Amino acid sequence: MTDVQGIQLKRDRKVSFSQYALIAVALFLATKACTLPSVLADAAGAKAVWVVLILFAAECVLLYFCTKTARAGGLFALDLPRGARIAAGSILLLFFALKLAAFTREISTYFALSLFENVPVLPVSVILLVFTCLFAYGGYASLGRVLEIFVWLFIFVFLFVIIFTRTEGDLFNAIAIVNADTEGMGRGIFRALGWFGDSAVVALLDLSGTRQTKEKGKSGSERLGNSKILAAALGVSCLLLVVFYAVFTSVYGEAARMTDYAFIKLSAFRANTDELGSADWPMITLWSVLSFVYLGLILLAGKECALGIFGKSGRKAEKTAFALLSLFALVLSVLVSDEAAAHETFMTGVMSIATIIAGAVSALAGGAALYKSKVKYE
Amino acid sequence: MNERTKKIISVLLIVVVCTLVGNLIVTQPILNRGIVIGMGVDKTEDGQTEVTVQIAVAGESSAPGAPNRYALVSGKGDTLLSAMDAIARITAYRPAYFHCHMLLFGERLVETGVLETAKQLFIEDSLMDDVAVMAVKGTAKETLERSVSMQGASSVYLQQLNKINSTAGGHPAATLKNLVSHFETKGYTPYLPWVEAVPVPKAVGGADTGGDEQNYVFDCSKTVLFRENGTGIVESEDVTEALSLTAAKGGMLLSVQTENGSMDVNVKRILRYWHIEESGEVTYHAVHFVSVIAENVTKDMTEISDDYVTEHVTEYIREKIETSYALTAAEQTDALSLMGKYHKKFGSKKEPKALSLRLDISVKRSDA
Repeated sequence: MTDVQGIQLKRDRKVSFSQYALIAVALFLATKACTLPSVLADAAGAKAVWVVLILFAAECVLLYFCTKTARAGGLFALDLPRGARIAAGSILLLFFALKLAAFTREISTYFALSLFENVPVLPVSVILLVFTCLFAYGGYASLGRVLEIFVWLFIFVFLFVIIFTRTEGDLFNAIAIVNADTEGMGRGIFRALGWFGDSAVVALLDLSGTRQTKEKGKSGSERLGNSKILAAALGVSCLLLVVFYAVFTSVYGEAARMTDYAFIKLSAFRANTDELGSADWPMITLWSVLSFVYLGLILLAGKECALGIFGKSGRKAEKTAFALLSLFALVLSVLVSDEAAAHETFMTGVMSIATIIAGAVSALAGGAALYKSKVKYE
Repeated sequence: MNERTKKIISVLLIVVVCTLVGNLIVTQPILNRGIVIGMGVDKTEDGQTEVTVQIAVAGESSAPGAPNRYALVSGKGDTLLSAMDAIARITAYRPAYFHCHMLLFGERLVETGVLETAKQLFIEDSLMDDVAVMAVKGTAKETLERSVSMQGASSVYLQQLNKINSTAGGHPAATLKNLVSHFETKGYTPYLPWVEAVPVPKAVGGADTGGDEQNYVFDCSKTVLFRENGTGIVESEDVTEALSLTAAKGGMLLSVQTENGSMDVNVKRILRYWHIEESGEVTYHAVHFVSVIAENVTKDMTEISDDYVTEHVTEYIREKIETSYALTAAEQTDALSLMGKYHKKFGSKKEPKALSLRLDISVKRSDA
């Protein structure tokens, strides 16, 4: 890679610490409330809450390693043998392409069924991908900025839902969350893996600026403050997610496995099918933004991997990468997702294995970055 | 790629996107939508499924006395979904179920089993999860056809009745979500309020709602309990009262008979706790805050004391719950879903040695 290419790649991948924290939160939360709750309820029953908590902890570990990679300038800026970088990049490229296909389909289906009332999914997928490409074209910083603007909506929706949502849970469904029956938890963890591992996106970011600040002698308390912000953001995300699963389990009990889309069932995405006064429209705005940002991040990460592998840079190469990734996602989602059983195998089998491999690769890269940085300081 | 080619591709892309978006955002005039306000499902004699919907007809006058504000349409099919499709074909409307707040199951369907119908409706997702569900004597279709004086449509009347009864402890509320959830949970006994139409004289000056000449009110004092296979048994008013006492937050009225007369007691609030032992011994602890709102006891007594109220109300509640539990247990159903509660606490693999119910009822008189 030439210096010019390196600088070009680096500039597009720069984000501030607050944007990085918000990106991490968005990656943690974006896809967890759609079909995952029913998949988990089917496998682990009321223990879905614990499965999510365990996977969230694992995701935090992955985020730690990916952040180390990002602090070293990102995966392709690591001082690793070229073959190792290309192998890691190829694996992550495949992972992001699969993720893009899987969640384009999931999000499109959600829009098609709920917002547009049973229109065909394919046109929605096409439009979603076109707009995701446009959205992602501005780079990580622009997506981070979008999150900075809409972060207030998170807080508003959270308060709004607390104040106005009439949720009637069953005490005994809630008790089932804490009983001693752990059957299905292992199966649940494996089946749910495909919805996790998104922190790998962070490994492609460039957070080396933060490191430079540190090296220039910024105060320790300021660095600590940054970490506190991230910890608080992740803590709140975890709490939101766990509370969401607990409420969902309490409300639906064993019927949770029959609910395709948790948001729909909790009446949070039924703008045209619900009464006035509910929190639907803020939820739709929030979820739409979150889903676009999520797909944009995956697309950007895929693009970075593709350009990194082939040593390309420039707007033309970016556009080509976006187009090819989108086309791949569209074709794969049509091929795999039209048949229910194939879709389930893809989401709960193929994606789980892909997540394990991609997670291991990201962690190894992060470990290498950590090792190199320690050697450098010594 | 030269500029000309880029422009052509851009225009083509815009056309494609506009076409796709145009297909999605199709305006659907309200007059083309049949707003379903009530729905009934019956099983016919030949085993088919008959779905009946009460549709609010847009464009008609809603002034009092204006006829035919609601249309009743039925469709038959081998399955629930084919029957629902048949309605769309008959009416030329696209039925919109999101304002449907009342779902009725006919008597024959209750006898043969509602499980599959309830699950299909839940999964199919046309109806809201919190739609109120009731089982009716006779067919759901004829219940929806009934002429009622108080409200424009029978489904609206039932909706109001259900709301008042379920909040005031008249009968335990049941929604589609609860019904399916109870069916899916090991050891739970699903239930529905049982509705019987009672003929009454037509109200003088009341709204002419069309339909037959006879007016009706609906009695919801009984309850249907369902077995695991989905078949239902109609239980007495006592079971309804026991279910309300063990599930409602309060607001119910009890008519307590004593040796000196009777008193109407308002149960304002109930605080309850279920204690379940691993051996299977279940203790129901409940504190009832009550006030006496009418009585004919004091003609024999100078004053009705707190102890008198407490003693008789406690005995009344105890007897209702114990009798109902014993009655339903003899029919191989469990009105209080004790087994379900046990499994929720200890997991579905655990089995109790023997389930037994112990009551710890206390009553506090509170006129505040």
